[in-house]
Amino acid sequence: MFDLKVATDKLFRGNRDLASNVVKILEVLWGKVRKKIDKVKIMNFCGTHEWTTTHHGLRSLLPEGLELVAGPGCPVCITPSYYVEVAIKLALENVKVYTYGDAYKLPAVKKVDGAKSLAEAKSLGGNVSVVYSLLDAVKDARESKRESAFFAIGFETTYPIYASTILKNLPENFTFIICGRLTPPAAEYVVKNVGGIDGVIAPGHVSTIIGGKSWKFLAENYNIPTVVSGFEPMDVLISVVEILRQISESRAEVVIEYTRAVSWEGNVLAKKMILDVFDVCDATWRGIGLIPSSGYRLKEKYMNLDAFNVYGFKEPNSKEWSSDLLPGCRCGEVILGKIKPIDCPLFLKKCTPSAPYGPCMVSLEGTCSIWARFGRR
Amino acid sequence: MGKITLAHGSGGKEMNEILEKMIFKRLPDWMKLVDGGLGIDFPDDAAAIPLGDGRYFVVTIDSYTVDPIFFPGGNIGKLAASGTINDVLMLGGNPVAALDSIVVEEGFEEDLLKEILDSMFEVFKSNGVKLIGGDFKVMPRGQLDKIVITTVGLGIAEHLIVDKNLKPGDKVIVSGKIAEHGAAIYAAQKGFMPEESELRSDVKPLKDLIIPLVEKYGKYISAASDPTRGGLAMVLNSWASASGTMIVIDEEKVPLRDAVKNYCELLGLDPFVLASEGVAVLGVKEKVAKEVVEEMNSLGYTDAEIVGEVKEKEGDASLVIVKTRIGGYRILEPPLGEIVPRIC
Amino acid sequence: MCWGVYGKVLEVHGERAYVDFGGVVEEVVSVVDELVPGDYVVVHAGMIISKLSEEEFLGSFKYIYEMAKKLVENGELSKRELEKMDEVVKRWTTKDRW
Repeated sequence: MFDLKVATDKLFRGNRDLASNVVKILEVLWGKVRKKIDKVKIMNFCGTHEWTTTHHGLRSLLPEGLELVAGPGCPVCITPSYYVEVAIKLALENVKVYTYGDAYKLPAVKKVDGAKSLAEAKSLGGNVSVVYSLLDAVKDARESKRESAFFAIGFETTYPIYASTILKNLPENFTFIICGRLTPPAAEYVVKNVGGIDGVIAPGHVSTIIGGKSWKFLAENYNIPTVVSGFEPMDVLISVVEILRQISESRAEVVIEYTRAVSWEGNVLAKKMILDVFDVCDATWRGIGLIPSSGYRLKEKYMNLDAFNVYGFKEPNSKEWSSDLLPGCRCGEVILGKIKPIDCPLFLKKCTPSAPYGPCMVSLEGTCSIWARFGRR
Repeated sequence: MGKITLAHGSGGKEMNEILEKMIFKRLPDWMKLVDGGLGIDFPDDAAAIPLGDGRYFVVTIDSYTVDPIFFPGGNIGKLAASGTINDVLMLGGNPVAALDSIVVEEGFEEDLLKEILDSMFEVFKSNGVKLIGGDFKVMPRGQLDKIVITTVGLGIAEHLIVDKNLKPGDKVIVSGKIAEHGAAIYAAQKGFMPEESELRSDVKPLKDLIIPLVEKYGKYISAASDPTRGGLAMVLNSWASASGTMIVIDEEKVPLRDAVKNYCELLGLDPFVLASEGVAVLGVKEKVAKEVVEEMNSLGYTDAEIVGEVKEKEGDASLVIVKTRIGGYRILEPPLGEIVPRIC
Repeated sequence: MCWGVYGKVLEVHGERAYVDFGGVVEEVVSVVDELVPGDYVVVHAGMIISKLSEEEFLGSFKYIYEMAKKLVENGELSKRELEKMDEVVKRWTTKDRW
């Protein structure tokens, strides 16, 4: 019987013959592109694409000169230190802080009562619980009746679950540390300020929510070939083929490769839920700075769920964000795709996955962490 | 100095670092081994002392703490007995006897203790291992989480299988499906227990596998380990660095059950770093590799596979390289830190 | 960003659903319309974010196949490559072959 999950695994992840066919096609197109330009830089905006690329060793299959680089696509790496500090403080004051595993080891730029991360706070006796989903946290909080705060990192993909849970009934002891971010404004910031990007692999799962049309500006305003891609290695290879095709034909448009999950409009229901609960606001990205209209904030009527409000923390103003990276840390440039992790003098010296110095070394999705674990190519 | 964290005990890089700092570096070389034997000069699965007649006395010690103490597929007693037997085997030893040290929290149910010990005795009994000594202590309530069992395994080896002897050209064989124990415990322990699952620990002693293999192919086996904490990634990385080689494995060949693979994928965990408690990884000479797999099959280990081979290292680093299912290459690092699920 | 895992919907209860991930069944929340048992879905952080279209499943694969054909017509890709792909296509595009 047809099983889509098994089929995906076999065809898109585990078929070496097909992969070598696609690589051959890619090489033909690369030959055409090379007649016009020497080097091509394709940026992804999703840490999971970066993970796919490295975990499946895709760079080892690509010709020299064709570079896949990672943009700001990791919600952990771009979460400002201040939020981590607040989370640590709460945990040490015995508010139960729930976090996804991703943000558990994320370091703040300074110690808060002896702890630099939630993991350290926990080893000091802080109240931290790692969860797989918001549901698990809500269930636990309902039973424990303890004061609780959920460390709500994430992009557009993760925010519908916060919205839908808030729209239903939450236990009274439950709050959120809201640090949600929107991806298209960051992508626009990067192409505007960094330049040199010849193609974009747009995030597939973010796009299930916001729709393929959200990336139109990349093709129309910046003339960058853009493909909304799935996360299997074959998806990424095919997306690269399409980008090369567009470059070779001197065209730029938005194409959805991940048609099995992504539509042009996106998930209308989820988008509405988000807007029912959150306002869009200017927001700071760690290592980058303030990006207009790139963050979520709870609407006024939900302020009773906002941990900042409930526990009396102030949102810092834009000036106060400036010290968000430690001295010498070049994560900001890594996030923007300006440099590769190996170009940073701290990489695998002062900054390692077991003792991360900068945020990109923390999340499994962080570019530096991925490079450290899966190699340099 | 810093503080000890859970990462220091999770069997990865941090554990090696803390052992290096706290123990290995601080002992003079003569204290690390008995002349002619094997000690912590090259930490392996067990230690060995020469008996003078060409044979070796093999000894190992391990403390077992597991949460929950009863898990799908076994309990802490079965784990402690199997683990100590396997450690003796992995050095080429034939397990003969064991000692145990049990520390229990005040208030622990006698029934449960009996059940745990029954499981432990059963494993020792069916493997002909004598329980020749032990210790029993009780800690005040709250000062210990339920129960800790330490076992010492004793055995005799005709010759030692020492992982640093792995040579370029050798093949790497995995005896069965990996990550079964790790996935089951993870699910039970961290509360990420699916509503329904087929996850089950593979904990078992491997005497029925290793002894016949050692008798028949002993001199062709250059390395043996059981991928417990830190999983296959840890074993292969330790081998590569102990032997100064590069190991290349084919992801497609590594035996992995769908339910485990899918559970790992759901939480974003890497099965290569999850523990097995009933799997052996062997490095064997190329000319007998296929035969060894057939022998394993005939012993009931039907999932055994040649998963890769040992090569000369390129440059300074002793790396483990994975040929991915799609045909690319990536580096397999030893595991790092506490294993946590991911959403990104 | 956004680890997503495929599964098949077993039961739907309002906004909640049970999803089979292959030997592992989890309860998740859904934010998609008209979910019914039998649907294949993408789950992210315990939430169904999208349905997967069986019709579109081979879409990008067909795209690459068409491209291969064109490249062969133009003499830019060897015919052998296309023949190799033909085999894969035959094997994988017939649903009852799974």
